[in-house]
Amino acid sequence: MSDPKYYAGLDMGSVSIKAVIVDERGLVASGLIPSGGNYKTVAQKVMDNALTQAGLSFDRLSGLVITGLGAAGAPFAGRQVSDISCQARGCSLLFPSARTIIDIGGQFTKVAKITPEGRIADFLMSEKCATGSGRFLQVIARILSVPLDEIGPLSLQSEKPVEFSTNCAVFAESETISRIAEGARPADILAGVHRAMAAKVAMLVKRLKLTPDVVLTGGGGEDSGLALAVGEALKTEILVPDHPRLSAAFGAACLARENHS
Amino acid sequence: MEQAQQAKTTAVKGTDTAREVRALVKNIYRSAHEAKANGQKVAYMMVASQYDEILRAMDVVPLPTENYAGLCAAKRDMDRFLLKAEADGYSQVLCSYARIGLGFDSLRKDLGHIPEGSPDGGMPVPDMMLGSSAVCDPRFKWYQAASRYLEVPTYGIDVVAPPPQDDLNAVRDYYIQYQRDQLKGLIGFLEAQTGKKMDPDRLWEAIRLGDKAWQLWYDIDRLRVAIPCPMPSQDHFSIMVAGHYYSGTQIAVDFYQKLYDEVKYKVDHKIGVIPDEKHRILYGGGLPPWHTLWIFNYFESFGAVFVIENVYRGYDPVEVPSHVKDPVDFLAWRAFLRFTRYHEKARARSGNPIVEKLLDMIADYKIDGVVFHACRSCRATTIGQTHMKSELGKYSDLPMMQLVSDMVDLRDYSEAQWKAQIGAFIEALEARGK
Repeated sequence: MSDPKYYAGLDMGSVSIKAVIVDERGLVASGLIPSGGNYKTVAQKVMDNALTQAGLSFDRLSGLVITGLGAAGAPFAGRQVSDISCQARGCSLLFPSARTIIDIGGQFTKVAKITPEGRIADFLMSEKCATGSGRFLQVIARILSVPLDEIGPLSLQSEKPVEFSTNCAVFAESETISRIAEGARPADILAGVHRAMAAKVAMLVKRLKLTPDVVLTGGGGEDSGLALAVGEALKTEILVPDHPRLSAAFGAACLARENHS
Repeated sequence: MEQAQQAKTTAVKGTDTAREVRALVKNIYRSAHEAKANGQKVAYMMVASQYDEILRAMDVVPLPTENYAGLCAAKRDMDRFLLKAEADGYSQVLCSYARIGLGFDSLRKDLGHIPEGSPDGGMPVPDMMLGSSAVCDPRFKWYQAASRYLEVPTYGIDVVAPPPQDDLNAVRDYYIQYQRDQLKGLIGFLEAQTGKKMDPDRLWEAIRLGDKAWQLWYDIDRLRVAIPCPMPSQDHFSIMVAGHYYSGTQIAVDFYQKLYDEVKYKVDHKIGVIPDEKHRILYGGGLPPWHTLWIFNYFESFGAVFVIENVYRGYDPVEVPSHVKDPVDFLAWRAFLRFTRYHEKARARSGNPIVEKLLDMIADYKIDGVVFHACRSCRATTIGQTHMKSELGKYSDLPMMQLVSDMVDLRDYSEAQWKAQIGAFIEALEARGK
């Protein structure tokens, strides 16, 4: 009986770098570290963590696919594939019924229609605008002094979401400060931000024509309040992977496995 | 290799003849300066205004302000003009061609001379400005706004086309009569400015040269159906200079004849733009990203070649009826026939002439994917683009992508975003081929 084969996916995103290792059966190990500082060093560390978790050395990997905005700066040699394709592959394996993927990342929101085989049929990216990205949430969370992982649960407590009169993250920042001064609750401000972002996301999805099932990935997928707002804006159920920030790296690892076979 | 491309804005051309265009561009501005020195009349003008041959016949030297904006962007020397126009109160959503032109005029007026180091020596103060309604509204209003900086006369010509649902037989006479009146009005204005009457024989000669050049240009584009493609879109965005800014001259005819010969040779010898052409791309619309033309080479690094385009293209040849004996009538007829070329097809199917044109291109050029460029400040070529892409999708299942930036304003461009999109688009093309 031959040794099991292992494959890795490395997603070098603007906010975090993620590594996933799979074998022929599925997920073996994963890692995630914020991207700040030296991308190469962080990527090396993430990969080392995942390999340690799996009890493997790097030379035991039979294939590696690298994706994400920082892919060109990876410290490893591997095939580069766009994160949209990796998301498509990963999500179709996690949710075979998925036909639309919404990936809300640190820099951009991407929407892709995928085929039953997990290939891209069409896609759109948000404009060069922070309102369409996770950066918007980061800015507002900083002003409210709310940790990112608490944004979702807190916003779900909202009773009267604040209406933002702007679709611009820069103006929304000053508007948030005004609302705080007026006594608005953080939960209501965050719910308002979610609605503003969801409206932008819905516009992108509608341009591609909504096709269920819809999967939400990226950092945005970890925000339960945002997932709810997107579902309400699209009037459809939103599926979220257990680890939405890892789905592109998972798809990359699966592509490495398919490429090898 | 990629890093080397990014250090410059321009693209590596596919043909030798396209490399000669730079000299033609320089000559446009040098000729305008020389004309001013010699007392000849110089006019700010707009592309596709249907008056090119009239200017040539009346010895008015054309000074294309839109081309100058593109030149500034290609030289990455546009910010000082854009910012000056914005400081003067022009919105960032106004056409960036117009903002560069207005900013240039404003700076020149403030300084009392052409701004230091302006690309190709800058533009001299014109003797007149000839606006046009062809294509978009800023082209009609731009020169009116420029009157704030220039004390020279302005004339705006209306260039019209019927909506596609119209019965052409019912509206033809009216539209041609109206266009004729507009052209005659312009001629009257030019006669007053130059102090001489227009010579119909000279106009016929300019028309003959103009049509000959455009026929050659059309023939060159038809050669591009060949596989592998002999001439890419980055060449088109150079070689259009001869057709749009030298129309009605022997220079344009000679240029296109030389280009035709080169492209024909490439077709006959199966010489493509790149050695291994994998994907044939249609540039579906939107003004080109003058600030980043190397992006076409970036596509080529993945085996994708832009083989034809739907902007700044020469008009398909049209046949003006032989009973038309007056050169101004001829121009009015020609404009009508050019603008209604796809109307009947549109009425029979999609209702949209541009969709029909794109579908013809997809079939003729064996297209694998379509790329649009949405320019934030160009309403004419961007509004409706998403709808058009969607309409096109009803008749074609090809991968399509819309890149967003601006034709000259770099502030609307994101290299990281474009590369991420292009990567996914190429993968979609490859997946389709499997």
